[in-house]
Amino acid sequence: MATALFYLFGAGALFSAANVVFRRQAVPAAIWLVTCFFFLAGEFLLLGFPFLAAIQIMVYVGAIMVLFLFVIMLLDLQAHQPIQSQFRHSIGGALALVLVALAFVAASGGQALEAENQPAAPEISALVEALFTRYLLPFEVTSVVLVAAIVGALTLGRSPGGSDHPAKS
Amino acid sequence: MPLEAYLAVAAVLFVIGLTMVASRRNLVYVLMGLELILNAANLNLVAFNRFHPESHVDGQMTALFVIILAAAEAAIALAIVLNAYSHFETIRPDDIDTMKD
Repeated sequence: MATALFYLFGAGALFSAANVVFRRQAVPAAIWLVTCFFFLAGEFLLLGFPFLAAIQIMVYVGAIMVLFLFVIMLLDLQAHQPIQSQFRHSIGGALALVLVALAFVAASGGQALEAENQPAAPEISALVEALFTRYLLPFEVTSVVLVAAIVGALTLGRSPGGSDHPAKS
Repeated sequence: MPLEAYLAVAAVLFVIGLTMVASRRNLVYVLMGLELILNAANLNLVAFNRFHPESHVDGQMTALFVIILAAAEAAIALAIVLNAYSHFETIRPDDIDTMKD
């Protein structure tokens, strides 16, 4: 079971990543990248890190890729070739979604997944404990980095004149 | 699955990401390639963490910080891309050559 899921997630991740490279249009490429991140979250789940898998989906898919899509649409890269929504694409997307959902349910379903020769993965409580003891300084520095990133993005997003209107682009 | 299997997946992902960065089609593609490279590194970290229990939670923690830094990097870099587009009217890296001689 675990082996089959590994091959499913791995092949899915590599196939999606290859599709990112070969897509001419930016929006489909970004969507394929989202698929790739989903499959990678599946790999994390398979390795026994459900917390990291959740963070991967929330931060990468929920925040970073949405940002990418926003920027791609703001840039208007394909002004001359509108994105054509084709029915077979939606079939493929729905199929992939169902497959990933099934795999996630299967992966979270039981302990049968744990291979015999693998040691048990650390618990989330161990992770949290380490985060607030050994990793306290990096954890606090992270907040500074995030504030710096927010301020930087806001500064870059403003128009050069310093007015409150966002930059025209 | 053995550790090598995860490492192989991560290596192929890394090469795909590197291809995207090196092909330099446009700045957004380059950034997407960077995200792929970071994810490949994350997969390596997590896999090594899993197969070496004496590392406790180190790999997982590092992967967590990588994700946070990737979010910050994406926000800043995409703001720069937007600015570059409004300034140069293009986001092809080869066409943005003001800093070159």
